[in-house]
Amino acid sequence: MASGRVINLARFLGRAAEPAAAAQSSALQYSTVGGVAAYKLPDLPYDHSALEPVISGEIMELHHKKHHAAYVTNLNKALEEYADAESNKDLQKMISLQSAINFNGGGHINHDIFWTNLCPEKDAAPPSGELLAAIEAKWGSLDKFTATFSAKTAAVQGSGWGWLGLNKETKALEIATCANQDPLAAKGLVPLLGIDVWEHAYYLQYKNVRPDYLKAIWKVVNWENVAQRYKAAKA
Amino acid sequence: MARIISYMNRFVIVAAAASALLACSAQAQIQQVALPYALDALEPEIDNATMNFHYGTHYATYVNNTLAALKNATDSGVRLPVATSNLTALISSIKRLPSPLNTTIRNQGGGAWNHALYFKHLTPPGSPATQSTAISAPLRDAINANFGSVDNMTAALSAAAGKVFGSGWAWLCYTGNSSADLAITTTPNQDNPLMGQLPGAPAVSAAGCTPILGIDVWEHAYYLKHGPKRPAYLESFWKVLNWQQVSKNYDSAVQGLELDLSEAAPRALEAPSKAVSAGSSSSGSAGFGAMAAAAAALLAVV
Repeated sequence: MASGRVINLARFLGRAAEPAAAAQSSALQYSTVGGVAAYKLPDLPYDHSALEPVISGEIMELHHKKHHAAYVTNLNKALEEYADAESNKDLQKMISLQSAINFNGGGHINHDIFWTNLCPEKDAAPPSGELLAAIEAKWGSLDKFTATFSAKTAAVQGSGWGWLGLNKETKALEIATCANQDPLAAKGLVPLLGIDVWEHAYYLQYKNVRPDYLKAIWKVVNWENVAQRYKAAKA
Repeated sequence: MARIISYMNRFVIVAAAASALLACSAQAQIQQVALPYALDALEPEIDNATMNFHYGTHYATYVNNTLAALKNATDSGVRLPVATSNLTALISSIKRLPSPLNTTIRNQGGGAWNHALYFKHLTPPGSPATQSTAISAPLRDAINANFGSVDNMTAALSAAAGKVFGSGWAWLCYTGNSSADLAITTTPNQDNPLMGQLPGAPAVSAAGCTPILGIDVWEHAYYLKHGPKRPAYLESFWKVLNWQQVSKNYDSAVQGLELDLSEAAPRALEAPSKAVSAGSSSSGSAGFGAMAAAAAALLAVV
């Protein structure tokens, strides 16, 4: 039974970046329908088939309605059990639930960002202004940035993500990779653009050729969204 | 004097021939295990398309990357503590390998080893080897002693496989511990319990144990047919598991034989097999024949 308390997901996601993580997780949709506090699966900002031919509708449906949905369901379940354990002062149980909260909470946060980082090809435009200037200052050109990002992300062993993030301390852009659903915030970076390289993100279409997926996905990156995140992160 | 010289000549000739044969099998390099079944023979449990990619591309790439890394290392004069032909020894000695070779062997060599074990212990559904009656008496005794029953063990292993988050493997391992000689453990990515507890890696229960049964739960192992439904894949897995091979793996592990998966058979002691496909002896004289047979079988299935 849910206590109705809001559990700040940021508590579980890495002390180093609590402010960033808190801001991130507070952006997640949350409802208290029927007195039960629960995170919600967001709708995509476009149809499931809207990213074709870069990402197939089949992949988008499974990815959103199965994988992301499962993270949300399992997160809510783990948080409910955590709330119970906490009210029973069952510390062992609380500790044992932390990995489920990390996995599923991280999965929810990451995919929530991911859907907004993408848009139909016809709506996609390259970065401009301050964001482009910062990219060029750091990597020389947009092309060199995307090549570096793709190479580092292709090299992720097993499941994980490639990220463009903002270092909160230095205010500099950085490329980083994370394993599994580990949130970028735990590395002290604010996530701006994430590319999912779990096999479920591309396998049905690209099979094992992860580099082809990484080459193609730039066509559907929503740089406007990345710029918005950049602006908010610098503030 | 002339007679002594002619004896010596014969000795030299024989010695040269023997060392050529030994050198031939010592130069046997890591390669994919030959499949004793066609890539579509595991239908409908594991689909042809998955087998094509999984065996023909993923596994092949791990092997090729391993070979490239080893060649690079030996060409650069790096001294390795074990033979480059012995994949089991390489991954068991990961902590003794120099950087960055250790990382490549962990990821690529681990991939090569893990998939060798995996593909070698699959077999067409419905074949006698998939029945639990195919479990050898010693293995059955060990399973019962450790888990109560075969069903208990498979349920526990499936549960462990279901819980792996991200990419990884679930294993039934031989621990060598007489009071509990079988254990279930999981490892991330292409890590393997033989590597021991690696720094920075999540805690591996029964680190150092020898896998005798492995379930690949990377998404590429099941996604084409099952999408996200890993439990459905796990159900199928048990229908194509070759219990005879698992029993052999247990037997090898108990005897302390090194599973040299580059030749698809445990080192030494096994009599040369007449079969052309996997299972040829690794003794010196048959070594070359085994390589050729394995290569032929590989070409036949790909």
